[in-house]
Amino acid sequence: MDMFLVRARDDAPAQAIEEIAEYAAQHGGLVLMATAAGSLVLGMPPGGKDVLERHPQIGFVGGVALDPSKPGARALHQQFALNAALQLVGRGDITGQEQAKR
Amino acid sequence: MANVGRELLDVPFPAMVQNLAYAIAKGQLALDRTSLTTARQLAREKVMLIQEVQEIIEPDFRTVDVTVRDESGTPHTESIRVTGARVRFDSLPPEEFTLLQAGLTPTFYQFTESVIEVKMAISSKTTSSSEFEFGASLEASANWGWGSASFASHVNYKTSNTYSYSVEGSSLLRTTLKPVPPPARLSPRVLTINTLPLLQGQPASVTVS
Repeated sequence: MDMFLVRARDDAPAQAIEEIAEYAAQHGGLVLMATAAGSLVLGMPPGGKDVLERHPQIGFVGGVALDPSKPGARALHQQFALNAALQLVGRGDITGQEQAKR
Repeated sequence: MANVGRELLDVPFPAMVQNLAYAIAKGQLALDRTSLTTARQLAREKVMLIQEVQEIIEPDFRTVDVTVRDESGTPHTESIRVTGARVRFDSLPPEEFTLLQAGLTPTFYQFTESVIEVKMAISSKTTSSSEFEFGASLEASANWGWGSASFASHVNYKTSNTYSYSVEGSSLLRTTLKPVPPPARLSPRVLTINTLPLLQGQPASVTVS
């Protein structure tokens, strides 16, 4: 799974981020984090960049990676894992017990 | 007849290499620009992170009353002290980080290998054929006092040369794009000044990472 930082277009309506998150989920993606400034960190299956760039409300898509040597990497990793697990449970891809094991 | 060597020399190889190199340079520039824009974006986005959670395990003594029998079999109550454990959680206050500081880095890609493959199939075929046909007819008649004769002949000569020459070519351009670590200068240096040794009269230590 590839990670992307996604921003809505500057002229996009306020609910654009929710629409983008839904669009990513429909294409097998996971919302790993939403920032206070309105960006999303998304995990997408291969070919996800092209899929994201096709969305009319998306203004920027940039590939990102997690550097484990940085101070907040562990906390970010945990946050990403928690958000991903909650979405997978919500979709029924994994059960709560499996989530607990992970 | 066309020269096969000439055909090979006519392949615009230098132009193909030049175009490929130009396309790669242009593509690399676009990729780097996207990565740098991502880096700028990551530097603007801020998150609050708790860097450390402490779990302090402390002894937790409790007194439990139990009924025991002495040597004569008389029951009496005794208080015994058992050791339990209590876990106390504490955490550092959340701190604000940019996503770049926290550990998200832009992905950089690089064209690592490029291949130009040109395939040519040249075939030439020459066929020549000729036909020769001769025919003659003689007709004669005679009557009293006079006679007549007619002679006719035909010659057909047909010659044909068939020449075919075909060149088929295909070219393949292949480039490999691989993710590479971000440039060292993109990540800010972390200067750590440890002033704790000052408490013991030692100079502060400075480390750069």
